[in-house]
Order: sequence, then C-alpha cells, then structure tokens
Amino acid sequence: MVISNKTIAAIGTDAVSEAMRQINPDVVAAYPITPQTAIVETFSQMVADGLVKTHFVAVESEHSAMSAAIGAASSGARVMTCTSSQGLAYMWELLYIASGLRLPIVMPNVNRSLSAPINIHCDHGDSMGARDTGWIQLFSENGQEAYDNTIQAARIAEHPDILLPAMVLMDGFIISHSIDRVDILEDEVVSKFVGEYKPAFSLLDAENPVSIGTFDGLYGYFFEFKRQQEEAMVNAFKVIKDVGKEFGEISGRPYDLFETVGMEDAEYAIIVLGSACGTVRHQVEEMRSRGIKIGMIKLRVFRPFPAKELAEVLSGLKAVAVFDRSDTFAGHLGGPVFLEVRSSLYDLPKRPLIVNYVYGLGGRDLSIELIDKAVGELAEIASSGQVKQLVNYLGLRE
Amino acid sequence: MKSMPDSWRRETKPHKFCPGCGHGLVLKALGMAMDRLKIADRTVFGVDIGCSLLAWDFFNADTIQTHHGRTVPVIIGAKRARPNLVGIAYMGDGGGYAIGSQHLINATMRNDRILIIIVNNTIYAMTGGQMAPTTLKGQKTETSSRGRDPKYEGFPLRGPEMVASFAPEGAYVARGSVSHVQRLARYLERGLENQLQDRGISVVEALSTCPTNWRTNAEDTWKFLEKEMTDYYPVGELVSPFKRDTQKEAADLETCH
Ligand SMILES: Cc1ncc(C[n+]2csc(CCOP(=O)(O)OP(=O)(O)O)c2C)c(N)n1
Ligand code: SF4
Repeated sequence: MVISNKTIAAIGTDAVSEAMRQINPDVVAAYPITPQTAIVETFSQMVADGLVKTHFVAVESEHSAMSAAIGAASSGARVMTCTSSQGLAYMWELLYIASGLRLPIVMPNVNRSLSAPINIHCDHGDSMGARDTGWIQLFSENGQEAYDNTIQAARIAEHPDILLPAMVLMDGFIISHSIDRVDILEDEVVSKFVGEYKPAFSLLDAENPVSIGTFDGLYGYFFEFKRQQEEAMVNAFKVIKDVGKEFGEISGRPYDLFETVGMEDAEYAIIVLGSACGTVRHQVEEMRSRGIKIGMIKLRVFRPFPAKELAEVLSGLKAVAVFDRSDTFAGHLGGPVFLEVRSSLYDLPKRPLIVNYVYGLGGRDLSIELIDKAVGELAEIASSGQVKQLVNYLGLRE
Repeated sequence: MKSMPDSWRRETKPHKFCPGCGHGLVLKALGMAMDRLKIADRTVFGVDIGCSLLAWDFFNADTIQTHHGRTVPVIIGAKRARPNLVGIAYMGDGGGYAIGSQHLINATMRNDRILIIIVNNTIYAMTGGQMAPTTLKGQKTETSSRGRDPKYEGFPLRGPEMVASFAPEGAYVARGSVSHVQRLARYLERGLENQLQDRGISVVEALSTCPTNWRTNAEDTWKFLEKEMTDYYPVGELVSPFKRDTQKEAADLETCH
C-alpha cells in the first residue's frame, strides 16, 4: 500500500529537515556551514516552533557538534547532526570515536569540496575522505532520495546487528539548493517506520552502570572491537536491503545497494553516484534508444561497498567506466570509487576492461557533451580491447 | 583623513563587502594605522573564513587565506618563522570566539607577538546570519528565531574582557567601533606598535555592522551599533603596556572620532 501524504516542491536541505522533523531525534547539535546551513536553520526553527521534542544545541564548531552527539548518543538518545566539507573534516577524530563506540548517529553531509584553495561547491572529497571511518554511507541522486535515505539511515544505523553511525550524502547546491518534487510520507508512517530507539547500553542507567570507550591497554580487546566493526559492516548489506524493501512498501520507492539501467544487454557501462546519475541516466537512455548497448549503475551505498553484487552485474561486460567526483592523489591510481570497483573485479575469471573519469571537482559541471566524450572513448576501449589512459580528467582545462 | 590609505590596493576598490558593511571601515582604520607606521611592505595579513575573506586582495601586503578559526595559529607560524614580519590575524567573532576560541586563549597565554583583530557584528555573517557567541540577549538570528535566550544559549561573550582577565605583561587589549574610526585606528596602531616593540600580544575587537543579515536600514543599523551593541560592549582600552599615556593623550583619545 502506498501512503503518500503530500507532494511538495522543496530544496534538498528542506527535504532533509522535513525527514529530521519526522524522525524527531532527541538531540541535534550542529554548526552552520555552506551549503548545509539551511538544514540547521530550518531545523532550529522547527525546534523553536515546538514541532519536535528535540534539544537543539548551537555548538561552537563541528568538533563540538560531533562530541556533543557522541555524549548524547552514549546516554541513550537518538541523535542527529549535519555538516559539509571543512566541517566534516574538522569532525575527523570523532567520526572514528562514534563508530568505535557503535553509536547510531545519523548525519546528513551536504557534499562540498575541501580547501585549499577554498571552494564552496560540490565534489565528494569530503565524504570520500571519511570512507574508512566506519560510517555507513548512502548517496542520494536528488532531494527525494536525500529525504528517503535520511529516514532509512535511522533504521539501518540503529539495527541491533549493525549499531554503526550513518552518513546521508547529497550533492552541495545541485541537490541542496535546487527545488525538486518531493513526496513526503505521513508523520505517523515515518515514526512507525523508524520506531522507538532502545539502546542496549547507555550512560545514566543507575541500575546497570557502564564505562564507555575506556583504555584497556596493550593486551586488551582493541583488535576484537575493530573486527566487530567490520562484521557489522558485513551485516549491513542485508539490513540495508531489507530496510530498502520495507521502505518501498510504505512509500512505493524501494531501495537497494545500487540501481541498474539497461544492464541486461549492455556491452559496456558507466558507474556513477550522486546527482550526476540524473544526467548520465538521461544520456544512457538516449543512446540506448539509438541501439547503443550501454548500461549504467547508480551506486547508492558506498559503505559498506557492495563488491560481490557489483562484480556479478559487471562480469559479462567488455568495458566499464567509473566516474569519480574526487581524487585519491595516489599517483594516478584513480578516484575512490574506481579503486573499489577495480578491486571488486579482481576475482572474476574474465574481467571487463576498466577506465576512470574524474569529473566535477569544485562544482565543475558535468555536461552531456562530456558524458558523450567518455562514452565515445569507452566504446573504443570495448571494440579495441585496449585502455590507452587509465585515469582521465573529464572537463579539465588543459 | 585620506579617502584611501596608501596601504590599500586601489585596483581592488570598490571593495567586495555589502553596502553599509562595517568591515570596510575596520580595514580603513587598519590602513590608516599601517600608513602611519609604514609597515605594509613587511606585513603578512591573514584572513579567516567568514566575511573577512572578502579582504583577500584589500592591501598592498602579502595575504594568506586560512581556514575557519585558524588564522591566529597560521599567523603565529609566519611570525615565528620570520620575526621581522608584522603579523595580522583578521577574523570575525565566529572565527575568533567560537570555532577558534582556543587559539585566542593559547596565543594570549604565550604572548605571541601578533595583532589579532576580531570584527564583532554579533552574528555569523558569511553563512547567512546565525547566532554567534556575541549575539545579544533577545537578538533574533537564523538559529535563534525567538531571540537569544540566556537560559539555554548563555550570555553574550565579552571577548576583550575575557582576554584582559589573564593577559600577560606586555599585552595590549582594546575594543573599538566603526562608529569611531579614528579612535579604532589609534587602537590598531598601538596594537601594531606593541608588536613592533616586541612586547606582547595585541587583541583588538572592532564593533561592526552587518545590515544584510540584521535586515536593517541605515538608521537602524547605526542605532543598533551605537546603542545596543555599545551598551553591552563598552569601547576603550582594557590593557595597555604603553607608559606614555599622558592625561592629555587619554583625553585626545576620548574626543577623536
Ligand atoms: C570548519 C568550518 N566550519 C564551518 C564553516 C562555515 N563558515 C564559514 S564562515 C562562518 C562564520 C562566519 O562568521 P564570523 O566568523 O563571525 O565572520 P563574519 O562572516 O561575521 O565576518 C562559518 C560558520 C567553515 N568554513 N569551516
Ligand atoms: S554579510 Fe554582513 S558582514 Fe558580510 S559583507 Fe555583507 S554586511 Fe558585511
């Protein structure tokens, strides 16, 4: 049954604030940063208007925002914060602490490039830098998905088999500041879907006092804790799929680890994430209507990384182009998505050829012409069986 | 008063701040002080993230863009590497008192020989007018839509008073206002002289205006600055190592605008 309460026209940040209102977290601690600021502003207005029961803390920095989130979550509260770029970078040490303490904090991060030089526009350098911090990472293509992912993130993060913090990613300005059609669910439907949060352990439980995150020495269990975090990430595959399916039942919009277009008969394909999926899909569909055997994979979940499932879908292809909106600066090894996809293909008996396109750094536009250029080269790779240039910079002024 | 100090870079004028913004007046006062001391050619000017960054090409002086809240340690680094430089760290009250407050405290404790200028416009301006540590009681901002409530959000921070409470010997601490540019220029000049004489840290707060985010017309902008802000944030020198303050000089300072 699809219960769609209302369809609104909203910018991406308002769609996320709406999801936050419906989740109604106990505590939100945040510091403003472009382009996330509108989330903080809209949500603090909701708090002032009494629309949520949330305690909102206007902290003095992102370091304090995540610290306060950790304190609140350790005390058994359902906690959210949100940030972008430098703010996420400034949270660095706390990101590891949140995941190490297994605190299911949910954080929308509006993707923006990292300084220097300073730039406020979109790329994925901020959240890709956080890819090894033990957070679940869900990418969104538009405002609707940012809304949907935020609601699902709460369920995923708090699942007893997971208990990991989760980041919901949305492209700065392209999603955060563009008006889009967004279907909003009924408040009761969302609150039933996310359910009540019942932490197994928390501070301030006088009957069962606990110590959290303490030093346990060289012969302690640090190694085991880390292994368990990895285990939780493995468990997350199933939970993300289950939650995505269940979300489909209440909304008519089911979610999976990734989405495919035309992969049933494609000879080569593009893998991409974030808002660029819309442009790429448009072009892929247009080419397919002309009989070109191209497909597309829209990656939604970057952490955990769905290597096995991806390899299955890619196994019969001649060539794959991976689009990355950030770089790893590893000496022409390619962007982070490329590294993961390439490594996922290693065990296939017959691997497709693979090529990387780094695009859109600092908000540079990904035009249809650039996609055409990449697809032209991809077709050439598929037919010649040769990759001339492994890592390419699409739209770079040279 | 010269319309444009010599230390200003003329090609970049008119500047990039909004009409009615106080930043331009603070930088005018700073330009006047730099002219009097003839130091533009050995100054390194650090701008924070915030509207202060719009001054990246304001002076005929080397300028470095730092990240939010870190202008103080970046300028300290430059000054320690080249002690003959004149180091100026220019930032907003968010950069100075919120995200970068620990640097203000630790630089003061170490008595680093730099001039820190904190532009107090009672909000985070560049991000669109959210509550800052300096937001006045009851003041409405984007994150205090019912007005700042001291019960939950605390009282507005008096930065220079805080620094003065533990300022080491040789430190210079003052609060000026863009409504008295000459006097502000004098405070900044003293802050710079203090650095040139290798005495100690200098911290000067400048009360400033942000009509864009306050959403005020010219008259209300000035009223807010001269009445509400100045009532809570008194203008004057809080700590000064200068012995030459004769009574006459003090009286001069009182009358200069
Ligand atoms: C680590 C980090 N967090 C947040 C921001 C976003 N940000 C940019 S400027 C600013 C506040 C500016 O306010 P203030 O320092 O008072 O200077 P003003 O703009 O008022 O002159 C903030 C929060 C950032 N750039 N980096
Ligand atoms: S937003 Fe405010 S502080 Fe920033 S330039 Fe405009 S008037 Fe000045």
